[in-house]
Amino acid sequence: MRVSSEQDIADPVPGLVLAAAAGDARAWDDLVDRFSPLVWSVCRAHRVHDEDAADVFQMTWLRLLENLGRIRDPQRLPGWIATTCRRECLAVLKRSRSATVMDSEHLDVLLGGDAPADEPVLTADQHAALWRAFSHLTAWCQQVLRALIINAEDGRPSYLDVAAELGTRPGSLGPTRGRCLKHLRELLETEGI
Amino acid sequence: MNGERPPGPGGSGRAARLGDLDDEQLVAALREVLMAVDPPPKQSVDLAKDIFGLRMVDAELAALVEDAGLAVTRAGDAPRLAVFDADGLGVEIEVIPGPRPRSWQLIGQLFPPAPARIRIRRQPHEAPEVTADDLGRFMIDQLPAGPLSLAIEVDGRRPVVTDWIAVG
Repeated sequence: MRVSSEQDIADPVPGLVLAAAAGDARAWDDLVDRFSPLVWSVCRAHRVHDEDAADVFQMTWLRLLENLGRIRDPQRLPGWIATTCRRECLAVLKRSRSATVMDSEHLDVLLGGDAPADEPVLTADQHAALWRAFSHLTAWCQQVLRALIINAEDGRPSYLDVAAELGTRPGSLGPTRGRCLKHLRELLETEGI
Repeated sequence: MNGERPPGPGGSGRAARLGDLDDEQLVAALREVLMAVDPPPKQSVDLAKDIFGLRMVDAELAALVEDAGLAVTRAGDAPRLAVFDADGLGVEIEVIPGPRPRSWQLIGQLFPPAPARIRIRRQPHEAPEVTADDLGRFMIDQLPAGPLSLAIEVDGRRPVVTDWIAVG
């Protein structure tokens, strides 16, 4: 699989930030479309409840709106957005009693750490970088990894179930998983995170 | 390809470098990122697009310098006190629960005391306005919960907007 660094060369985000800062509403819409999934996933990673998640979501975008003219490095916008969202999540969690506690037992075991149960393990920058690298994988890799992760029970996905769901041979899943993770790691190396 | 992988993250539980994680660890990190199987609600996305109309390019920012009462629970009675500072203009506000559920009351003071027009930046299409009297005092009631920023116009200076804070 080729490392898709070519896709990074024409990064439209800095142009969008400049245009939005200059008053281009469509550029703003484009930024919202591009990064809403990231903002939402950071909310969810913090186990912020539905209503609070909507508030955090809005607040994150409001902060970007106010800082459009001040973004120093538009290429690092995903990290800026994730950090801002995380800050708002933590503020809400401190205030609200409605946050559900994350069951991170499996996460702890796999990562070999003692992360507190209600705190995500990734930093905001890592979250953004991983999300971005994942989105640069081929569609097939994204599908396979997503299916393997979502179907995991007790930390072990059923390869038979996943294969049936994806319409592929169970035996091919292991090697595919390995290849896709290797590619993901290569993409992460180029991000330097 | 690395000859030897550094030990996996332990202790704090935070990954040292994502690129150095082994397969199991990388999958676990991915799980955290992918846990959001639901896409962001369309209503939220549309609202986020809509807020572009709130932008005030030539306004000066009054930064939040103090925010007491942030840790109150949703049902709490402790007043929320926030202080914002711009060059030569200070804004102090107190937010308390209003008589009706999910409704709040805001009492504000400008420093130095001066009359002003104050607009509540919430929705681009409706911006309720109040006036600060000669002593720089103003009040807003029946404020719904949500993000809040005030646009303050004092004669003789650029409009000032306060940092966004979450009310309620």
